[in-house]
Amino acid sequence: MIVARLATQSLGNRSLSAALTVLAIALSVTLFLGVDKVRTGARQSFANTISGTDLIVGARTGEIQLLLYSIFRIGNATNNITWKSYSDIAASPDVAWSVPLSLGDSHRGFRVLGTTPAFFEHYKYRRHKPLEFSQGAPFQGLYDVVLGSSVAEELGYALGDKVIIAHGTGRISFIEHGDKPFRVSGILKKTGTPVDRTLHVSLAAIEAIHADWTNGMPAPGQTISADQARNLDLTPKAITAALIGLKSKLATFTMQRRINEYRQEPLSAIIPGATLQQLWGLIGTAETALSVVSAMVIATALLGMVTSILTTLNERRREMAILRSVGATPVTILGLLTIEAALLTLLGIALGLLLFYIGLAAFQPVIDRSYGLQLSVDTLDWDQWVTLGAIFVAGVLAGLIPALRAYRLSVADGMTVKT
Amino acid sequence: MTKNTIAIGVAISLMTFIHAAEAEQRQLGAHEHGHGKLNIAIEGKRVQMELEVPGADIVGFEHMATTPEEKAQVAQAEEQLKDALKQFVLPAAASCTLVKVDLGIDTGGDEEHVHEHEHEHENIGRKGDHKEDAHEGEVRHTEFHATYALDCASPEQIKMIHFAYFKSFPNARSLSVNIVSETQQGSYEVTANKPDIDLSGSM
Repeated sequence: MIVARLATQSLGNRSLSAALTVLAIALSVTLFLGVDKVRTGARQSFANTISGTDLIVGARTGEIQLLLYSIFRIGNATNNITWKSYSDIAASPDVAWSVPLSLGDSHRGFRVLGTTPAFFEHYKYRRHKPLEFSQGAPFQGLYDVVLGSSVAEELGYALGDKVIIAHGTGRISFIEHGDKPFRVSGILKKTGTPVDRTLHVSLAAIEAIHADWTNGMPAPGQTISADQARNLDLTPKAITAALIGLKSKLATFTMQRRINEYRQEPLSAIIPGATLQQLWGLIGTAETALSVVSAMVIATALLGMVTSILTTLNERRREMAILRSVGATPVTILGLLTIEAALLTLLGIALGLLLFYIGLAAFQPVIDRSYGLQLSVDTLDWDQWVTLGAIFVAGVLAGLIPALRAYRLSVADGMTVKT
Repeated sequence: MTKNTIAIGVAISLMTFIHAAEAEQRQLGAHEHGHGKLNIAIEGKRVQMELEVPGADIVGFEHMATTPEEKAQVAQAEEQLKDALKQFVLPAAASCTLVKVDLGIDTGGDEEHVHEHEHEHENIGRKGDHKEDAHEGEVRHTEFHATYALDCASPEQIKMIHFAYFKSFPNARSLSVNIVSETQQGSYEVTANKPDIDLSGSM
């Protein structure tokens, strides 16, 4: 007990260098926990985003890219697919249901998705969980919009509010579809998927707001009012991608091959779960690299601690000698320095945890907004506790290096210190 | 008058040009020696498998078998491929039986249809319109195609798949395996060094 108090007070005497050592360990622990959090958070939110869809159809492109832009709204489509090809596929006898997706417009940084009411019925997340409305209902009128929960929350929209959609997907848009405002018809419950950050309108609405546009710009002197647009033929010419549900799982690969070999248009069909696993295979290497880097940072911090204790040993010969003179055995000296290292590591881990949770709480909304990545603030899992324990043990073991040196010195020096 | 004729002429030639461009489509699937593909779909008690492997993996060559040895080799490979459960070993607890095999060799041209033995009348989506640039005759890669239909008393017991396939065909190095069932979709890479898939976590 006394030894522990001595260690604390001795550290207190060198509070600055001790604080810096603790900070270095703390930062390395924060880095480790942060990397781990982002890794598991990304995995979870990806894996829980889509369920119950047999195939995703898009333009011919990489499988992973198609999955990313159609479901996760990451990146953009290389090409669109024509409405004709889509109708053709949707009409196949093997297809039970299909949901077209049309992306490309936005509202104050949130993506706008053109789709059909079937989306609310067939889109499933987290093991076949369907979408639910917290208020209102799916869009019915041409200018109705259904908001994801985060959109409604962050922009403060309620049922019946007017929403103006902007052209393009940037956060700041220069061209708005101001002549055709939308009315909020429904707000979805929180899902923890990109749906939360999406505004849903009908495919016809996407056509209607672009009715008087040519070449991606409003055509001068040629405006079609919101009401005039209602009378136009609003069948879309192209969509970005489509979700397909099949009548039988056995047809999955045949259908996939048929779409991949579709003669009239180069198309790709992917099995979302299988593609997601390929993505993990790809990311796995980067994840390992990140873990190795954070392990190295921890090792560096512990090494820094050993260095700082070692350098103080010389100037603390007198301290050791006095301790010996009042009856401390060399073993006590050994214990003293080991406890010192243990204390530094423990404080470092504790401060690291604190910094991690403060950082998580502070940056979580920003990360959610800019990357759509939902990191939950929760307790550490078993593996993380084990790693923290391992860091502590490593810290104590590293502390043995200066401790053993002090032990030997204190035996050799005895009381005769030459200054 | 002449202007019109020219215009019509241009239009017609343009149309034929567009037409020709439409008619000729050049597309080719990937073909990588040593690497095959196996798709597995499970629904109810039915398990359906589709195997697609380059000829090089199975018999070591990709031209038409001409010598008696080569023919014997192909025949032997076919016999081996037909016995799906010997190549892709499923847990005994699943108690699966092979009910239908459909084997074909795709020579990059017309598909040579080998011998079909059938226990029931059901068409497992064979593609009849599979003719990839056969007439150009430059790309002649042979591929073995096999479709299997199995009935399993307890398909939920398929927690492991062991690929004895790599022992039978030493030229085969890896297989991309895709699996879909009512509860999961997955993609696995199986290699000769690691010839097992563990599905217990996901089924």
